[in-house]
Amino acid sequence: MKIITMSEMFIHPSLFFILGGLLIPFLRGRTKQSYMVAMALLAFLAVVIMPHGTYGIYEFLEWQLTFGNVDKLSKVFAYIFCIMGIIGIIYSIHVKNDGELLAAFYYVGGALGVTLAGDFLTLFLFWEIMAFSSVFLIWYRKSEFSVKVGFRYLLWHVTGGLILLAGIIIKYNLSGDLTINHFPFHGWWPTDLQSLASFLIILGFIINAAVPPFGAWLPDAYPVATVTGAVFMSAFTTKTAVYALIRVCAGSEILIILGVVMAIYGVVYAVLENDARRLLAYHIISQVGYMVAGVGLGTQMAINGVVAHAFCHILYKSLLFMGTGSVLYMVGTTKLTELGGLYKTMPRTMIYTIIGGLSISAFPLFSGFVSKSMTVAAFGEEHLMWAFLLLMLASAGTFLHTGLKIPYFIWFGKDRGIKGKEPPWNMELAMIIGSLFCIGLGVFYQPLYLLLPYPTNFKPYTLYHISETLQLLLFTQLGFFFLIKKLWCENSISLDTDWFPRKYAKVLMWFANKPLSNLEYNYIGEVYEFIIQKPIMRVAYYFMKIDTVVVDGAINGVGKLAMVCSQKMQKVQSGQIQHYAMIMLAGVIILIIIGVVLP
Amino acid sequence: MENIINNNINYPVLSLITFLPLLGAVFILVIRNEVLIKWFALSTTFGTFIVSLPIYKYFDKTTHKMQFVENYPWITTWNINYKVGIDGISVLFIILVTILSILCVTVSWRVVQHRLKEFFVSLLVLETAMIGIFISLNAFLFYLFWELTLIPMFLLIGVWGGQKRIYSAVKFVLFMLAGSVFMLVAIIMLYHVGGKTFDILELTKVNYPVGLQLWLFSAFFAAFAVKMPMFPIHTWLPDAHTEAPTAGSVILAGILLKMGAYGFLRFSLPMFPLAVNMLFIPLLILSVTAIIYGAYVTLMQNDIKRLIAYSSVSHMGFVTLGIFTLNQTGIEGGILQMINHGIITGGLFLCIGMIYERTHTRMIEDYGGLAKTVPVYMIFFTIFTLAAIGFPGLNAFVGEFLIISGAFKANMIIAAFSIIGIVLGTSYMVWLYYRVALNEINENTKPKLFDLDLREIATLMPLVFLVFLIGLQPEILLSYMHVSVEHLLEQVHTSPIIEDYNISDSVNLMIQNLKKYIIGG
Amino acid sequence: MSLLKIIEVFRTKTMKRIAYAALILIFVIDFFIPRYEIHFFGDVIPGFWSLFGFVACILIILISKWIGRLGIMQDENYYNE
Repeated sequence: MKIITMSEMFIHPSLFFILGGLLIPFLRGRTKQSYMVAMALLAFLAVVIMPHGTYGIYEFLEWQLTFGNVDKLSKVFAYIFCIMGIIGIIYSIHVKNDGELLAAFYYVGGALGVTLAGDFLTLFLFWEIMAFSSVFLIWYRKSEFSVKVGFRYLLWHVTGGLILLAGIIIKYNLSGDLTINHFPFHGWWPTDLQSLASFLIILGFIINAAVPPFGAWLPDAYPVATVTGAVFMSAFTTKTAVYALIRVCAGSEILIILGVVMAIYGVVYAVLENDARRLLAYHIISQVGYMVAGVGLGTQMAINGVVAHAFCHILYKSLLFMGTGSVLYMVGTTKLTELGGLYKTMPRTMIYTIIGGLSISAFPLFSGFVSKSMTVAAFGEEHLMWAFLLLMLASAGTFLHTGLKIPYFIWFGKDRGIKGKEPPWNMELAMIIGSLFCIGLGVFYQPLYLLLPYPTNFKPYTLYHISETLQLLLFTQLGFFFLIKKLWCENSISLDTDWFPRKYAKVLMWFANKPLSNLEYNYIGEVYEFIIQKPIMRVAYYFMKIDTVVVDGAINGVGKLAMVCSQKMQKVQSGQIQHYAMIMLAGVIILIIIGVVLP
Repeated sequence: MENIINNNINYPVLSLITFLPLLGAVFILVIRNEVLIKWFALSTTFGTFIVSLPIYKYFDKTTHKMQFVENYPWITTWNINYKVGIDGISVLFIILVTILSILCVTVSWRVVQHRLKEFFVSLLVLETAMIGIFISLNAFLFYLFWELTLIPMFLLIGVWGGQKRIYSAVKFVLFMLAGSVFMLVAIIMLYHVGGKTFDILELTKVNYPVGLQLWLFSAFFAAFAVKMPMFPIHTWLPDAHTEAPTAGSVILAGILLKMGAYGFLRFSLPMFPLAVNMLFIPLLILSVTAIIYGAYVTLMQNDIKRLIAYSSVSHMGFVTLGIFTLNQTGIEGGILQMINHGIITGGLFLCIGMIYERTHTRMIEDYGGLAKTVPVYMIFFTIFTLAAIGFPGLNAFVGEFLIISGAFKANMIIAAFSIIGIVLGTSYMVWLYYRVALNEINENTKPKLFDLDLREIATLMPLVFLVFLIGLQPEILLSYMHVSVEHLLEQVHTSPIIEDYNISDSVNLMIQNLKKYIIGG
Repeated sequence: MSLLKIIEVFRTKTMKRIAYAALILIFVIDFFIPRYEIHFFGDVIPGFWSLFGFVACILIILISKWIGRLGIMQDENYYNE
């Protein structure tokens, strides 16, 4: 490796997670806990002191790998990933399983790597690291469910990664360059090689962003992850995909439609959901839909909105997962049909979750208000009113679920007499930090705006805007209480777009099991038997017969003849001298006759 | 002889490398003491490794010509000489052989219970034969070494193997012989057509007529395809790999499979370029079939060794895919992947062998939770598993990237299918890993499991080192290949088409006569 | 817990009345708020968003349930793995 440029002020924050994580299995107790938090804090500091520019360039074969591409866009994402890392680690320091902690570390390290990657190969490397480490966050839940779900998750991500790789290879073949640059996909379908490359790349990103119809892995996997794992997962995979989309595919019009559909899709499915964490997972799809649509729009305000939204979303979504995760941890279930009346025993958790719900719904004074509305307003600016209205519709739905349905059914609703308890201090501390951010950013939003890639002159706190939002949300609440009977949950699951592979994965496996194995063992394998072994053995058998029957037989026959003759001869030998004398005399006379008479 | 250059080495280094193991085998024949035999075998293989190092130091990477050439007349009436040499394509295989042979000796330290002497003798003779194949520049010599590998391998499987060892050994030999018979006929034909010589370089220079090329290519194909193995004549592989002792499996998977691909590169591509160009698409399709079929069947295996064996079918499919793309990236990827496969699969078989030594079962259901019981072992197993998947940063990723790059240049649709193969590859390896490493601990085997001792760690370390080295600095290996592969491609792509005089004319005549007979009356 | 007491306060009938009053207040205030960036007709009509929110909520719930009844909602053990 030839190091071309390295600046002293650039320390790749991933290093703290990837290398620092290696030490975790060797530490115990308080040392381990403080060490982990320290690593996350150091990573955050590394991001703070990172100046803009390109660093960490290495030569690899004929390519140039760039590990540190720092500009406003990557820096703001790096910030939020580090902050989330800190919060998540605080939430998880009670976890005993070192493997799970290691997985979380590598997951965060991978996300930071993707953010700061300057070329596609580095991006792919970290993309794969993220996929492989996050699957352990599912597997460590150790229910029989989680095994299968983990495999599905991994297969989705590996396939997505490979599609991405295919796109990268084609692009490389075309342009000879691996640097990450703006390479949007226009139109609806690939028309030539160039658009095929961008199509495959955007497809690879979309799969990770959980865009329908490829997003079924998210609601499949997130509810089954560990209590702490889900907190991490809600933040990273989809947001790194959003980052990648902003970086590479901004302005790809197809994303607008996909995003809007996504936003509504998530909301629709969430109505039917019974498991609180799966409901939140569908909500991630809905929220990311806003982001994807914003990326598709591509204007400066839209991109700003997406970035701000991603920043705040990570914070309030993780807060929601932390809240419901605490319920899972302390009570043992997140099924809404089995919960209710917990406000009496877990009031503080309820407050934090409600704060999260108000943030996600973009209530004034909370973080969502200053971020989500920017994206939606961008659509308004461009006069794409259909998208604008549909997104507002989805906002109503968001409040419906996260702000109303979840709190109502978990903490109020029918009191089933479940005894909860407030979660351990570290989980509560993490939730407090998250809540502070949610409220803090809602009130003091200027620092956030300064971090955004483009200059912002969006003013969230206009009277009109406040009124608009309050009307929307509060009257949604009215509707909620009107139809509350309809919203009672049932113990069911909803079929998603992975129905086909799941139902028919069995077919696939059956194919491998029966016909293919049949082919392999009974036909192709047996070819050796049929063509070689049996005929050869048969021919050998015949030759053996020739050997034993004919040849040996002949020799035996000769031997037998000799035996018979000699037996007969034996009879001739009577043992009496006069017979011998007579025969001798006869013999001599015959000899004389032959010797004298004949010639 | 203008195709060779002189290097700075004054002694016959290639012959030394080749025959040192044989010498060691001869010495072992007279040693009685078992421990002494083992140490002697170890020193011989280690010595061979040391002796092979100067090649890499003095290798001239700027030329495609043969280096370190030795030429001694042997049977002059038929122009059979003892001629050996290496170029950028063959040079890397020598060190692969020497390293894997050392590891085979160390891993068999305790396993072999009876007939220890014969075991190590077979191993060393096998090493000689293998090196001989890669350095031969005379077709007859090549065939000699090719067949020579059969005997020790037969013994290794048949005497020290598992339950079905006789059956597997016989199957192995029969398959190989069937293929090589065709090769022998082809070599003899080459002798006659190519100017009464067996010299490979001379034979390469001749431009053969198209029809003849096709016949000869098919004949050689029979031999190489059985060896690789290509679908559908791969069925000897699972049996042979599974029933062989660990050292046998490592050598089989690590080296012997590569001989087929090497044959393609040394014989088929340079000598029969027209045939190769004509059969371009069918060969690619056959490769992709091997990739996907092999991966699919692997999913169903319950025996770990069989699983890895079938995965070799899939991996060698990648190698042939790379070779038959007929472009620089693809072929370099193919050669690199051959080395990688030798390292990775060799490592996996070593791992399995070590665990088999303890539990005497290869069934996946007998394992579970190894991550907790034998953590050190797990680290190695994880590294090899990740390498087999093609995880970026480890060696196989570079090979696969290059191969798929080359494949996309050759034919996009076929390349797309090969990606399915990678997904399947990931699935079966991850599934195996999960069932073996992470699942519930299996109580039956738990008491028998104890972690790796120093000897075993020392056996695995070189391979792990190589996995990372090649993954992060593949240029170290690729730099040897560039010029030779370029030259090879020149030979493939720029060859004049000579109208065939013998075969196709007579076939045409035959068809015309048939037509007259059937139609004309 | 004092927090519980606070929450209990919110559940009383009085609070419900205050909440309804707030709703009406917000609806009315909208008539007096100055409009800045007018992108479409809804921006101009006062109280538009109240209606929108209410209708949206009802629509979402009804349509989703309908789609669910169509076949998306299944028993938990549907995939039966």
